[in-house]
Amino acid sequence: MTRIRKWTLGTAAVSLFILLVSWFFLVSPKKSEAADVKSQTEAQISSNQQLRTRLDILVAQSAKLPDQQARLAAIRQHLPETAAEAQLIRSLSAAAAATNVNLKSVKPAPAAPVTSAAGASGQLTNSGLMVMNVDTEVFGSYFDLERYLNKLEGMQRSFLVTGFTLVVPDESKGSASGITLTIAGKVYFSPNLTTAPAAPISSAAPSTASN
Amino acid sequence: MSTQTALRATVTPHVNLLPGEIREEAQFRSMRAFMALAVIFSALVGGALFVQASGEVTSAQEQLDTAKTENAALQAKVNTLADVPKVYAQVAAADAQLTTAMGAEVRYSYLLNDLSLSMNRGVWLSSLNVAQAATTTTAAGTPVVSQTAPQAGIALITVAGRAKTYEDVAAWLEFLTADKTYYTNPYVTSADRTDKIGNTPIVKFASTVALNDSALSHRYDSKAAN
Repeated sequence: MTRIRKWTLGTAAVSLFILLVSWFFLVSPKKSEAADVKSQTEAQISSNQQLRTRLDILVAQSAKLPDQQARLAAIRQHLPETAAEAQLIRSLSAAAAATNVNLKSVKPAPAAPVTSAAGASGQLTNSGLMVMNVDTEVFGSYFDLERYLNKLEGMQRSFLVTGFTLVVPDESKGSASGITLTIAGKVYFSPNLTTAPAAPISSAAPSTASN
Repeated sequence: MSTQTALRATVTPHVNLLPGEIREEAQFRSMRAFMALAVIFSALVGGALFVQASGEVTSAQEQLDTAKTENAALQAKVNTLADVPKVYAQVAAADAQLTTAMGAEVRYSYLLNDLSLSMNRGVWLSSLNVAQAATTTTAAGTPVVSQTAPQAGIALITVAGRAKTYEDVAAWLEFLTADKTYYTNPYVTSADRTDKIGNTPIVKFASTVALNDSALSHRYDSKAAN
């Protein structure tokens, strides 16, 4: 082998060595870093897209916020923050006066938490609601009593009639005219309307509040 | 003779007197420059590739920085609207509570009105009792009647009344049977002619009928469920 050939081969080897070293120690790490940064960029762009979508939804929801706040205020009328018994008695009395019936008695029971079965497990959950049974007795004509019930159903504060007994006096036996209506009802209130409900509670908890 | 003379005149004899080593040395010197150039070229190629890769990194980093800046701006806008989902969640929770509370509502005033308009003339009520079965209400607004309910339906209506004749009692039962929208399983549990109004004998009767879930008002069903 001549000297020129040796040097030629040597030069080729050195050139190849330089190329390999620069590839593996300089170019390849940079390529890898670039790929890594590109990957981060794609993830960031994807995240931005999601954020943009979320922002669009929020902006759209924001436009309807007054409606939602009005709805919340309306529900608050149905479910006040406290038992508000005084206001309830006034409402029942006003309904009786407006329908020309005689409100003979109002018997509110102590408030209790409302529980309901959640999902397939049937586990009782606290709905965040409180219920108060209210029995009332009124006296009047059939149609006035019907109007009184209608007033109760239309009260701003929700009044749930769960049963009633209507007793017509026996006029043939000299009883007084007029009908007695005993109403079993429930009113609700929600002390924590602004917090999410449905925290599981023990199934042994009192179930007085099932409606 | 003439041809050979011509050939000799055109071909000049050439004799290289340099030794082989010197000739090879000369060739080696000229080749060495090319070799050096080859090595430099390799280094330049490596360097160019490095510069190009570095450029890619710089470009990608700039894009990443831009995306991050955009993200920060978007996040800031989202943060300004952070209360919006809270209000929606409050409304949904309140809606669910209202449904839980009032999902089992029946407009009994309508029932009394229908009863007064539809009852046959020969029958009048002595007492009317409505007992709604204990229910729980799912968030979707479907009342679940307790398994202990004594009848099919959501409420049991017990009516005690008086009629002129047994025919009127039968007509009362037919009235309840005909209204399949609200009433189900009507029964007369007793009827006897032991009472009188004045001198006219009358039939006292008792009946029961269940109120089915069509009577639910659905006024408070969750808007979200709908």
